[in-house]
Amino acid sequence: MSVTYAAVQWNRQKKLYDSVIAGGVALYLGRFVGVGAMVHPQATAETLLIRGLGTAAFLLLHVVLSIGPLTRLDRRFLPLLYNRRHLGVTMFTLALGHGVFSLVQFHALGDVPPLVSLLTAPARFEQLGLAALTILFLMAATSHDFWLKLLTPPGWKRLHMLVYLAYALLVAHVSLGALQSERNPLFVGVVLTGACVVLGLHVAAWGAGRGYVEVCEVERIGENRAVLLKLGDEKIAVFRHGGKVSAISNVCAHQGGPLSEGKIVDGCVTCPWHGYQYLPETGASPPPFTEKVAVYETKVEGGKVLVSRCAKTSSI
Amino acid sequence: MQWAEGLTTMLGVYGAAGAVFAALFLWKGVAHVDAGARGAGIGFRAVIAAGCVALWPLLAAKWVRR
Repeated sequence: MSVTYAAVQWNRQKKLYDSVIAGGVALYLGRFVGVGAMVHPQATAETLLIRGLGTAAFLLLHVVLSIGPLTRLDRRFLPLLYNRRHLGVTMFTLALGHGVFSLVQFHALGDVPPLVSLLTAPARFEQLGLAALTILFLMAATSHDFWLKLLTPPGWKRLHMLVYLAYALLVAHVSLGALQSERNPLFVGVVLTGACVVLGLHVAAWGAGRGYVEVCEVERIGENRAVLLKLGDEKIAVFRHGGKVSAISNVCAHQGGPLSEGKIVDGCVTCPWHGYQYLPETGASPPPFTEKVAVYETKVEGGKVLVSRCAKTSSI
Repeated sequence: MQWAEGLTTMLGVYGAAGAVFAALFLWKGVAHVDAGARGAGIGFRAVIAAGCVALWPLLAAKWVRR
């Protein structure tokens, strides 16, 4: 059974989200070009637009990168996460506009083809920008669920983790480009602050995600049985078996059955709905089956069961 | 300079082949590769078109295997 794809599965929240993005971008570009024309009256409209599009894309990339750790630190940011792909595609569109206008303005008037001129330009910051734009293009082009299914979730995630490489390339692009022509220390401070915010949020979210949460006393879990632990929106089944404690996602990979209501049969966690089985240590179904559920670290200290806040392995 | 010309030529050939493949794939192949694309509209095909041009060898391999 499958659902027929649509270009975008529109709902009220997505329309509102996209309206805010479009309005914010239009407002930013309008103000940037307007103020820029007053401060730099000698600058052409093309130059102001190139700078406006570039700074808007760079700013939006910071927002995109900050949403993930922000939601891990405070779940009130979750609505921002739901449509992050739209934000990413908008950011790429702005970056593409910056790149195309720059290519036309700086490389289209010579005898050499524009792309060859860019690739062989002595100022390396442009090539760094092109490399980042290529990564952002691949991410935007594969943002639809069709690609998520085709590339498989781990493959899709690996591709989209390249955003960090793109960010590093763009920091270098800005540092070796705009910051060399605009010597104002304020701009250096803004770029450094942005990098510190992104890095700081990731470190803080990583720190908050570490550590364990206390479940109950080990005797309260019956042998080969489980208790249910709720961690925010996550439900975890904590099993006791053969003197060990294991924790896996409570959601069966088959049809979402509650694994904590099942029991361990023949060494495997057995779903009460349809009998799907998982090894409690790895979360994987015994061969030849390939289902897998997320596994959490566990330990027993002072007779109490502790479970890690973050999954050790994810469901596939 | 020569390496850059060679690279842009290769990219051009790759992109042109990808555009031809994408047109065929979006017309006939996509529904074979993913059942969710059966009956999907032109908007869906337009949204995935750029990815089809960029990743056409991967899609071609999937299409042939089906």
